[in-house]
Amino acid sequence: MATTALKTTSLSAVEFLVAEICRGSKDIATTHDARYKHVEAIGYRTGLALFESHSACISEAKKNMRFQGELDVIKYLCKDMWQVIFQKQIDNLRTNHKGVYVLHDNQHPMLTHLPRTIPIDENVQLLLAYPCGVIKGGLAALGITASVSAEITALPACKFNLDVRRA
Amino acid sequence: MIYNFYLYNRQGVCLYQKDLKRGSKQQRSDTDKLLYGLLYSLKKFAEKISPNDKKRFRSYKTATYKLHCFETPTGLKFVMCTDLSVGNIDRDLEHIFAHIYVPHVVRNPLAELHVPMTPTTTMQPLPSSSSSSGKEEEASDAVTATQLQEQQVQAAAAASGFDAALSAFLSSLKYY
Repeated sequence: MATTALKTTSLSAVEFLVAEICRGSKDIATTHDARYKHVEAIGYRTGLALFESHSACISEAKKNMRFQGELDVIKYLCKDMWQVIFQKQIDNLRTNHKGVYVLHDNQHPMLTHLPRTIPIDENVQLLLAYPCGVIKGGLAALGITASVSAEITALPACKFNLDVRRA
Repeated sequence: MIYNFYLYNRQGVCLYQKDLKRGSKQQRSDTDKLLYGLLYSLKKFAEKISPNDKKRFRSYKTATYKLHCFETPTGLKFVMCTDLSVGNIDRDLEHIFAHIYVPHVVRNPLAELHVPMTPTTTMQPLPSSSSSSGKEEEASDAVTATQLQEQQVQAAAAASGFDAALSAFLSSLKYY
């Protein structure tokens, strides 16, 4: 069977790279919104390519199942893709079965190393622009357009809100 | 005997096509769009009348050729037309996806996804340190006309990686 070996990346390499992208976006854009969009676009492109190449590594059993609808795709995102990128799975998935999903990550890698007492300002929110973009791009690769936003509940936990009803 | 190879993305854009029929005349330019329409309709219809849950359109046969289609979860369709003696080539189409498309296109940092890849007829030597963009890409304002030309040559070189690997793989198949 054609299976490609899944190479694991060093999580710290990803963390440092994303941190530098966020830092570097300050030179490219002046407003927080523009910076957020810039980093999100980077994540989007990454998610698109990542899901495309990872779908070559799906195990035989999953391949024959395909994706029986939106929830399957979201579950694949939470379990397999989060594992590939951040080396952990999403801790909790909630949905109202009408197109709104909330992904709880209790220990997000981008937030783990921040001091717990810092104020949650724009710089911290910018760090989550990349995972939001990856989710958006990945879902787009599998045919789902959704709007994705992140909320920091309490460092290092965060929530990703997916809304499939409006793109 | 392999007659043709087509690659479509989720939106129906023909990303790549290759005509392997020896001594063939030029096909009409919109055959690829018509083929996508046919595959889309066939797939939808096959899913509708499928008696059980395992629904996947794989191939169709006519009196002269057999058309095989492999679709990835991301909506990419790998289509191959062969003669009638060929059996199920799902495995080979999957190999093209996992070991040729993914390494040469998806993982190529200079390549653009979802942009048609025109196969080059002449092999360009790959640049030792790739510094320009692949496929069709907008040139920055500071680039002069000669640099733009160079970029286009290098873009073709990046695309020919997929073309070369695909040609090598297809010629290794026993039904080539």
